[in-house]
Amino acid sequence: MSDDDLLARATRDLRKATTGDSDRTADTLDKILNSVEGRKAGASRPRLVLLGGGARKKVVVRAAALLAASFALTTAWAATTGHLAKWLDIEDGAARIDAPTAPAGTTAGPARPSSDPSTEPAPPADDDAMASLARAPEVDDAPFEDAAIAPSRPAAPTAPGVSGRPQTQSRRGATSPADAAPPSPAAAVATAQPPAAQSDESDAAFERANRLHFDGHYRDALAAWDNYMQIAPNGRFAPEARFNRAIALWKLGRIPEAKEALRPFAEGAYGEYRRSEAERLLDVRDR
Amino acid sequence: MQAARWNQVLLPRAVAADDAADLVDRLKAGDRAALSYVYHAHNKQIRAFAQRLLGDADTAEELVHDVFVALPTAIRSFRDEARLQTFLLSIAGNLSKNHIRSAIRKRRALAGLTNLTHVGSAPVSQHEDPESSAQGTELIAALRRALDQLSDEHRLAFILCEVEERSAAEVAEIVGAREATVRTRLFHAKQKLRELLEDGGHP
Repeated sequence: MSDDDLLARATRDLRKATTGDSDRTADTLDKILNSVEGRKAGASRPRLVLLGGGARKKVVVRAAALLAASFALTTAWAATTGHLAKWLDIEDGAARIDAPTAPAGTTAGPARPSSDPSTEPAPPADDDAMASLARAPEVDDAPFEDAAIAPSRPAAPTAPGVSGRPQTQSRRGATSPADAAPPSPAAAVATAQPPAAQSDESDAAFERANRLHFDGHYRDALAAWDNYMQIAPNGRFAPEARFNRAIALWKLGRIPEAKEALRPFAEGAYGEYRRSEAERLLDVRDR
Repeated sequence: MQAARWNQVLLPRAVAADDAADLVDRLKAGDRAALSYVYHAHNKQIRAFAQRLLGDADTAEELVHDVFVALPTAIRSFRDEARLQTFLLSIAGNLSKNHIRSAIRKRRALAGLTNLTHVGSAPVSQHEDPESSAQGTELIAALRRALDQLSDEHRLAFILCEVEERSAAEVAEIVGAREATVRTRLFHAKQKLRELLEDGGHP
């Protein structure tokens, strides 16, 4: 097939597949009207009357000149009367930490002995504390595209309870094993058993679902994930199964259900397992 | 004359024909009835455009929302001789940049997660023949991957001219460019898309 035909056919298919129909028409209109009402309410609130650009500039310049003049006068008076040296002596330690060089405009006070132990400067801030503040938090900067799911059987997730975040509960009654509240991290770890201890049935169910999923048969994969969750709701592959089930829902266009299934992962119910992926997929502004 | 032009836009029943110009004032004021009417009259076309441009239903719905929320403010620059739908598409084009980024990001995130080489963006219809549906879905997915490699201007030109089948003159009005510029962008867009489709939509 020529390139022109291929492009023309793809264009035609895209045109036919996108009709503008949606079951969210009414909801979107409600949101629009609420947003517009919100803007109108915000616009009607009283606001401070600010000066225009030119007038504001004049005020700022005058205020800055007044402050500078006051500072210069005060410093000159302090220097001539000896108060300046007194001020510097009292704040000696702080001045050395905060202002290692004398600020412009100040006159030099009487020289202070540099080796007099009685005038030793305050000890510097704790080095370890400063270092800990300066230490950047660990951030996973790995490009998201690099985080691929291994098509083969994944390793069981490590103890996901490290995040310390509260486990989320399903907002609806559990209608299927997959819709039930996610197992607690402790339970997930507790149920991790050596392969020998896992039933052949649950392993086979997981393998089947996995194969269907990565072959792109999402409708069958969804049923297979549900089947696995029924057999082994707290199995060591349960988190992976829940996540893949959410992906299968997404692929089938069942977005609200997919988001519902992804939310526990984004909220840390499984610790950091699939959390960043779920957060990225849920990267939709909620209005 | 003004009323005749507004008749082309399908006058709302709530607004009398001789008060056609009042619709603009009511839109500016964020009048709910006026906005609802315009939404019902044009949301499907705007959503179709958003779906074609973005390839993601959620992001497309966000764009539709943003277009109509912006309308009461944007209508101040509306010229009587322009069709309202063209004007709405112009708003959508202006607002689409961030939505395009968001849709591409989500598509790549999903592709990375499933470790597949192709991403089926359109949901499978239960009423279509599975084999042709799969082929059509795959071709659409390939076109979307290719569109993701275009600049926003080229992407917009292609969607408006080829997918929406609008004239170059109308597209020029929508994107605020000269007609010759639109034709040039379209030429380059199609050239690149052909190359990319040879590789399945991958760069």
